[in-house]
Amino acid sequence: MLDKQLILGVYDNGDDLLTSVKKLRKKGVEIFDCYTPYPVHHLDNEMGIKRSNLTVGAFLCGLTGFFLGLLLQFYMMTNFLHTFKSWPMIIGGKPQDYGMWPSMVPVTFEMTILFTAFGIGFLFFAKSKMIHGKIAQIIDPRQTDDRLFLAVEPSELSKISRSELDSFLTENGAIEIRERNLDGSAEVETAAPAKPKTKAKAAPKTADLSEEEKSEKLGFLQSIVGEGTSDQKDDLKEISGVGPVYEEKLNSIGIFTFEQVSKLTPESIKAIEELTKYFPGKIEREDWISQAKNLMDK
Amino acid sequence: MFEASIRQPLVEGNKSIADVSNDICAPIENKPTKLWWLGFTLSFAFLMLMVLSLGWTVWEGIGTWGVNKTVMWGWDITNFVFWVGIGHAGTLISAILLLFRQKWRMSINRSAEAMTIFAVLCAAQFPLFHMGRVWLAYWALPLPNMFGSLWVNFNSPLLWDVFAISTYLSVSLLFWYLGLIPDIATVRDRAVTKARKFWYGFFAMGWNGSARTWHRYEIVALILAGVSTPLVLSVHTIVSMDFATSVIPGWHTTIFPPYFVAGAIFSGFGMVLTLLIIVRKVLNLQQYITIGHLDAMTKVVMLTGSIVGVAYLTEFFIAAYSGVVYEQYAFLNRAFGPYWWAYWTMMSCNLLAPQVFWFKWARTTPWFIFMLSIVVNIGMWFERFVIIVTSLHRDYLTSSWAMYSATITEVGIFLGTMGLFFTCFFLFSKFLPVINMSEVKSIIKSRE
Repeated sequence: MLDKQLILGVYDNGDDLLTSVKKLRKKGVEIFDCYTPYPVHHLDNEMGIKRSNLTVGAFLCGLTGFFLGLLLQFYMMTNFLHTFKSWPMIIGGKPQDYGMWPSMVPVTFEMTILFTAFGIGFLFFAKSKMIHGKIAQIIDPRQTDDRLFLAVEPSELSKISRSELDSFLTENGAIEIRERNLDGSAEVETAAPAKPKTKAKAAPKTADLSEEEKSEKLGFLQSIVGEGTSDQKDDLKEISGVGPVYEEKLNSIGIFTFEQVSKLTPESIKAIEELTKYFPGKIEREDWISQAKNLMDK
Repeated sequence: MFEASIRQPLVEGNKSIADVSNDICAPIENKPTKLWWLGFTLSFAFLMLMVLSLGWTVWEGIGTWGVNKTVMWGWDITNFVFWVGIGHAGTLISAILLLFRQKWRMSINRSAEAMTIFAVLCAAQFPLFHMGRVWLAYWALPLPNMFGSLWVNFNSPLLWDVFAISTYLSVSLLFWYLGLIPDIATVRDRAVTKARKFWYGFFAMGWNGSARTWHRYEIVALILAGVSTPLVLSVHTIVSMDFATSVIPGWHTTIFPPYFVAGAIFSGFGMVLTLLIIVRKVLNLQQYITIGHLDAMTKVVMLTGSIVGVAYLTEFFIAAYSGVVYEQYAFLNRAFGPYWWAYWTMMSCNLLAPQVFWFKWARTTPWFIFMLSIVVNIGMWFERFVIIVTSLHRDYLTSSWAMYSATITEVGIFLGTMGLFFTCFFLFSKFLPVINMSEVKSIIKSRE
């Protein structure tokens, strides 16, 4: 499914994304789309998305429900449609013609609501081309997690040169520039030029570590817990709080046994957190060290 | 973004966007804790009790219950109204607070809506099985049939209930599911196991967070909130009409619809508090469901509790003022008749107890709120018991007066629905994000 080729600015917050969109459109560059893990307010206006007319659809569905509700009751309760072939329901002497309309209010009301809600639900799924089991076109798994993507089509490069676009995005807070297809298949990845971010921001906790830092941290970790190999491996999932995901991560940084976990020190825990980028504070909070000690004794 | 300095942050602990996903996906991505297994097993055992008691009811007949010709509605309808009422808080939080743009709803709406759905499921058991021949329950629907086309009676509030409750359940489900889609997609994209990738991928419907989809999504959410608001008010209004359209003294009053709706929100918030105080502790979500949230919810409890209290007193006054002896007797009988204990339990739990929330300490101390929320749950159960049983057991004709007490089967069914409710809730807390991640991400202060 090779779709569109896109130039992507990667952001870590909605405000920067919004400013970039605003400024880019001022320059006449059209945005192909943005992909965000949460709704960024006013992004739709700034991108120039035309207001969806789903509301009209909802109204029409509601109207349908209203009339169907009335029809249902007139058909069953009155002779309006000549349906009294066999059993008219005479209960408590209540009227069997238009006079019973107060009794029809609740059901008509509920039918209106039911049709409005499901009508707009299905219209939404249809218009967004969403259906159960559809394979999502994901550029990057983090677009539903903690990264925001601004996508520009290469054809827009007639209005702005590539290098201009790159530096423009970076200046406005993009932490990375990429080229990808819509389904996420690889293209050349261009590393972001040295960050000239205008706003000084604290380094993100989950920032990617450089290779040197990584090996340094790994070395430090090994000096404390000792080297482990996969053949002495314990089932780390026994520790409450460790799942299959985290076990794999621990294994990837050379931690395989309970003994190693039990030797952890506060500094080494910090190193683990930086290496695995996972759940800060979790190890101490769930007291893995004494859990591991207990498991060793077993 | 502008932040008023006098407001507490809605999410504490300086969370980054990544922290939100990590914290909230943790129960899904890790093995369940021992506490979870304990709770789940216990709930499941109670669920089996429900199956057993209902099975016995169907096998043996309604004679296994304590209801009789005079008190034909006993624990079953009490429980039905109780559970439907509980559901109302979920819709109030997710729909009405959305319309009022109350951002504190965002970290509690998911679990409150889940509670709505499970509570309505529990409620549905009672009228269904009260029919006696539950396999013929579909007769309550307006279906073409072979009896010379004998239709359902649209003059009956019980039929309105069928429409109201089923609309309520299905619209709530849709609203809940729609809110879940972006979060299911998050779980899908973080998934490492094949099964998780497949199932969350299946239910995420191809969501990729495109700005165009978000644009439509927000419109749909607003419309659904807009229709859910009158819907939730109509549901308990119609439930109250089950009583108010009859001529039984104590039931035949026009105050019922607003009084029932306020009571439903009151009891629903009681249950939301009970649940969330447990959830935030067990799943370690104190920084998302903060003391500020509890504070806000207790204020709703206090307000609605007071409305209900005023309704109790108004009922009493109007009965006295009306000069109708039957009406007067019904209320005197409530307060001083054989079921006086139920009446005074109701009064003290619903009218008096929530008044402690005038004090800030009471509103901000979780263990105390937890105790009070249980009191509210008990009080609201008794309210329905009082309305149903005391009105029925002594009406116009003295020769047909009777007493009613529940049998072990009825108790079993009620405890069993508790099991059903909590089993569903435990499964929900294991397999779905209990907090609406995408909404919370949009309101956290410091973005990484």
